[in-house]
Amino acid sequence: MAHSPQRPPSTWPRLALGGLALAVAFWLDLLSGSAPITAGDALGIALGRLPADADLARILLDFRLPRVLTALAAGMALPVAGALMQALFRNPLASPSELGVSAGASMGVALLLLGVQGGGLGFLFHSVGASWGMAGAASLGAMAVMAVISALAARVRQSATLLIAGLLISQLIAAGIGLLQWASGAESLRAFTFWGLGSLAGVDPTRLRLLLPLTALGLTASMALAKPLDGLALGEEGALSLGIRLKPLRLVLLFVASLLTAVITAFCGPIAFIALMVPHLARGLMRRTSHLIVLPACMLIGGALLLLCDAATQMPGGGGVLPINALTALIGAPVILAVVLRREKPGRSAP
Amino acid sequence: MKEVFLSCEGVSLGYADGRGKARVLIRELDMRLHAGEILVLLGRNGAGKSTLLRTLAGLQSPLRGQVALRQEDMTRLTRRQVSRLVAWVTPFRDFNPAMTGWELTALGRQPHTAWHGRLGKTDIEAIEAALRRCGAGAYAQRPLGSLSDGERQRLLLARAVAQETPVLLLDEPTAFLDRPGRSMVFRLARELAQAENRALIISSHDLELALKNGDTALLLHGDQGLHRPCSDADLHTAIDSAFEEERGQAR
Repeated sequence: MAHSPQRPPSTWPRLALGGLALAVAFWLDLLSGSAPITAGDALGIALGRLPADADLARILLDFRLPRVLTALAAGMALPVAGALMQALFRNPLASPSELGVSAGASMGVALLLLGVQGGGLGFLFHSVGASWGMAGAASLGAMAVMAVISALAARVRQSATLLIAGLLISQLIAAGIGLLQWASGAESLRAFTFWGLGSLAGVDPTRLRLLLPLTALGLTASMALAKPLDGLALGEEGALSLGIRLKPLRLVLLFVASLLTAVITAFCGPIAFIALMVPHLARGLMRRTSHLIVLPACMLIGGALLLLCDAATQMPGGGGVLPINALTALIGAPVILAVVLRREKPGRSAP
Repeated sequence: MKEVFLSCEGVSLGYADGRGKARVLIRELDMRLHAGEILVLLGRNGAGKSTLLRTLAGLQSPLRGQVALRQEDMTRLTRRQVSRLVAWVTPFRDFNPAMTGWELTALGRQPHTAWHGRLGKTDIEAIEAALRRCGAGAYAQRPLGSLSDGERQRLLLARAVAQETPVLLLDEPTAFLDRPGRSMVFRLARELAQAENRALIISSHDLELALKNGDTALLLHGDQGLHRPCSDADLHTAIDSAFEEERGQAR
């Protein structure tokens, strides 16, 4: 009875470690690629001193840096979207790809790319307006699926049921995209297939100018939602009794999670597992569930992880560049399996 | 006379059945809860105890009548204002097993923190005081998944205590507790009522312990509520008849 409560240990050392890992991964990814750029070259270019070979600077600034920044943005955005959805649906297995939100974003892009026939495509791929179009279409698709999933979540008690619904929605959308592909011309089909492979390297500086600010906006908004996100842990009525206004919160959460998913999916294609896995890693490594800590940890860990994955895809050997999704699945699937098995462990009191 | 913290006037409770008709659980309830009072809420399963508590917490609207918090009509208060006046504890058990006891208790500070949710010095002191009071200090840093039901119940109480509201509504706080745990809940309730002048409504199936520790009792039976001092003879007769069947079966 007289036990004095122990205060929670500071998470700053762990967050700092995460920041360090992110910096190292950023640097590693920047040096990965077919052109031989050394750390010295890169440092020189970063400091404004051009190396003897001007091509190296061009490769670094026009190709490597956009790719690395894209990986960083995707690595930060997707896990945060996953964490928001896990809190909103009170479901540890919720994430944009598992619940079909990524598929919804793909559908948006498919309608745009396959709906617009032939001639307009050159315009579609290289102007700022087209980037907005892709992001907008993806966002609309993502939000449509989010709305359906939320409606379902209100009726569904078992977390697995919601997951199955998400899977079915994904399948349904895949079928819809298949129909669109069947009905569309060869040129637009090529454009869409290329997009669907999922790549961090396809983002040129023009698109980056849209991707980075939108990602930053979504991440900032999510940090501002940290407090009500924590309150959701008490269930809907518990959250209400803490003074949280649920309806506006739900809408904002759906919007922010859809935006983050859609922006990344629109420009990089669907990237698997990162959104589901990283929030669990963040909670485990920080030993906290408070979103004031979990969300920044998601950004650091997710960013570092995707940068490392991206660096690994650039490794020499094999035929060209590895698809990023092969690597994220390789790491992600075992982590998810561990989470599921730990939840199943007997002895944990299940009501 | 002490201040009235919470009052019901002509409150009818129940559920709409979706076809324009209502299933009424309680009709025309008048009730007053004063500062420093412990009201024990008694009644058989399904008598409407939880529904009444949810209504008093502002989570459900009454079919009719008015609920007032400190003389203010509850419908005129914002959620945040209500959350600073009333703390509500249910036997909710569906937690993230990774959440720590400290984090759970800290949720009680949400009505008091700013939009960003960062905890200040007074918040941390309130959390620690609440944990100590509920005897949950020893496992505050352990994840909820590793705790027993009783330990978790203490943390839920600590969360409500940390909310520092004049009114506490406890729905079956003793349900998962052993005998010392149940005594702890009522001892804590008396302490909060006497030392801090808080008012509590506690629903419980433990008639003996409830009547011993409460100041007044509200018995829900049929669709009527009977609110009397715990020592009142009429109340005991009514309790006997309300629980007769149950006791008969126990014999």
